[in-house]
Amino acid sequence: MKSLNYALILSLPLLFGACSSVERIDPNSDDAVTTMGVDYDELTEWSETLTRRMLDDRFLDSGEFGEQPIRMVVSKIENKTDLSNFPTEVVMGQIRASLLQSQKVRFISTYGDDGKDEMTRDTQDMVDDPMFDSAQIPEAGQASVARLSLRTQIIWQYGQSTKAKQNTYVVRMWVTDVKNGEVVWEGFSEPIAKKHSKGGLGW
Amino acid sequence: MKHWKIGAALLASLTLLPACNTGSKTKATTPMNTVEKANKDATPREEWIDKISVSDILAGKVNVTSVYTDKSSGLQRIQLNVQNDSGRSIHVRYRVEWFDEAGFKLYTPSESWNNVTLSKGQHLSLQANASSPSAVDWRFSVQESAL
Repeated sequence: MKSLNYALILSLPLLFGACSSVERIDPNSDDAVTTMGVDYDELTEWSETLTRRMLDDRFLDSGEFGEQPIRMVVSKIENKTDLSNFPTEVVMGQIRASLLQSQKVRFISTYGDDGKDEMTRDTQDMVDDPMFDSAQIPEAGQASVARLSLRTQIIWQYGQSTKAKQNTYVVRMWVTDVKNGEVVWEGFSEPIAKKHSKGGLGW
Repeated sequence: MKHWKIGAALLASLTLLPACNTGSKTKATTPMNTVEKANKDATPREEWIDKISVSDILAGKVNVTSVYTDKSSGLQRIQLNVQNDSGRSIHVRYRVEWFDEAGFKLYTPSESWNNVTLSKGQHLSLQANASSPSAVDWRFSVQESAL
């Protein structure tokens, strides 16, 4: 019995002996962790695809919404997935930055659901504050109003069989002309599907 | 003594068990047949290309058959028409980088490696858009991935 105990103790390092380590990895490489959710490289992939689909459609070049850059505001971003802390800012931020770089769009930061900046309003509010030089405060009524609104839904579909379960995620986006409420563009990202197969033994 | 041997064998076998509960993206492994028009109505602007191959794994397997470019919207976009000649399904990731007139690489906010599965014999059109009007040149990179 004593030797059995020794064997158990001596075998423990075999089970738990793998030393933990931290290393910096390329999030786009095979070293990155693949989860059942949406991983960082996939968020970037979504941004790239959606921006390309929006620009390819040419609705921004139609002239219908005035001269470029066209003012756009980010409307509601609906997370309809099982992930409560979905980093929508990664997708939205990259799409916004790409569209801004294209010089076809300019985003409004005074209102909307992403990338808001209170400083435009705060600067206006300083007009009666004796601490500041009121001559440097921009004249009232100059803040831009968006002509287009960008609405987003992140959609999740779950499927399960006896041996496996699957999560499928997709982003749906649409652009509305706020002048008349008409949808002028709508598109989907490529779906990201993750399958988890049940193992027989193991951990 | 008997218990000692059983215990040791049990523990040794446990350590050899593979970690098998892993998530994975879906994989397509079915060979693919393709039919398309013999006389095409599209008139793409075809680009001459130079290929630099460093991977024996991919060389001659993922072939770029043609490259089309367009800048009619003010932003450069390209389409790489690729074919999987490897005789098996292959997972690859690809990336397109953009360069300005001075040859400098442009910052692309959503630059990413895109993952794609090419079934045996599959033709696929991979597209990319420059997000800046300054982009005039591009570089396409492809590598095999685990997916």
